[in-house]
Amino acid sequence: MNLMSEAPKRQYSEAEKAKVFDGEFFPHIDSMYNFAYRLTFDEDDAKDLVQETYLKAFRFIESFQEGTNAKAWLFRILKNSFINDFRKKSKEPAKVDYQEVESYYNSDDVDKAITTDLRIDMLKDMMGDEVSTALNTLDVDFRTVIILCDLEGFKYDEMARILDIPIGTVRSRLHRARNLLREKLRMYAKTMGYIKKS
Amino acid sequence: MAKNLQNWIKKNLISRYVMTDCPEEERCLHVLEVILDDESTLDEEQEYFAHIEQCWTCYQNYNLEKAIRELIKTKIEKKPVPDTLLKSIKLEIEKLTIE
Repeated sequence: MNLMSEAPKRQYSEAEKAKVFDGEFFPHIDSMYNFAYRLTFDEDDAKDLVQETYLKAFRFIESFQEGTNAKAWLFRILKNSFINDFRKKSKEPAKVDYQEVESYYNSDDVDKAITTDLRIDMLKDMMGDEVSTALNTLDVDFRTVIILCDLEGFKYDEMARILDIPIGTVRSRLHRARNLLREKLRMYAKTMGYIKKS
Repeated sequence: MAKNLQNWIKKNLISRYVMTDCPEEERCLHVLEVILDDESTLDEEQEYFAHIEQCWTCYQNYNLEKAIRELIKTKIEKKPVPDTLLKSIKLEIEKLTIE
């Protein structure tokens, strides 16, 4: 298994392993479960994914350097497990009528478009469900960068390591993801009647 | 929005901005993201905040983008971790230790 294979190895005694798990790994279970749920949209799959992540962390703990970012290390394992084992069977969220958004997503305009008719007062009336649905209907790669950055507070370099992509790609993917999310929020504002349908 | 209110905003708020259309709006949006992500340099921040003092479009974008970030942080519900999960993970790890 190619898990953190580039990292120097460190030997842990059983007592040290327990200390690392209790002190550095288990405190992140809440974030990991929520990340797993937002990837799979299924509570049982999210539980399995988190459990598998911790078991892999135990098996490959020699690759973990104490004092480095444990949360980022665990998130990287979780993301890889999701891609390798869960992605194919994960459920898609309920589709809203987003054809307009999807065609926008497939066009080159996605980097350029700026939503001018979305306003702060419209956002204030949005419910959590509407915001969650807007996020959940993003393609998984775009959803992931928003979760990692805006919800979990990872820095660009940490995200680059978690996702195995260059920092430049992290930035451009985030930019696209945010443009798409803004567009989806605008669609909601439109369906709520805040923005006149053209 | 009532027309007289629109006119009032234009006269009293927007008119103090030198620019109402930004020729570099896309670049400004990239810089804004980096600033809100807390990944910017001091120079970028100083340049950007001086710019939004002059540019109505970018001032609006700044407020909107900040509000969206806030919306994501506050409105997306956190799911509670099932009570049994930590216990079952610890049990599985114990099994691996015995093996």
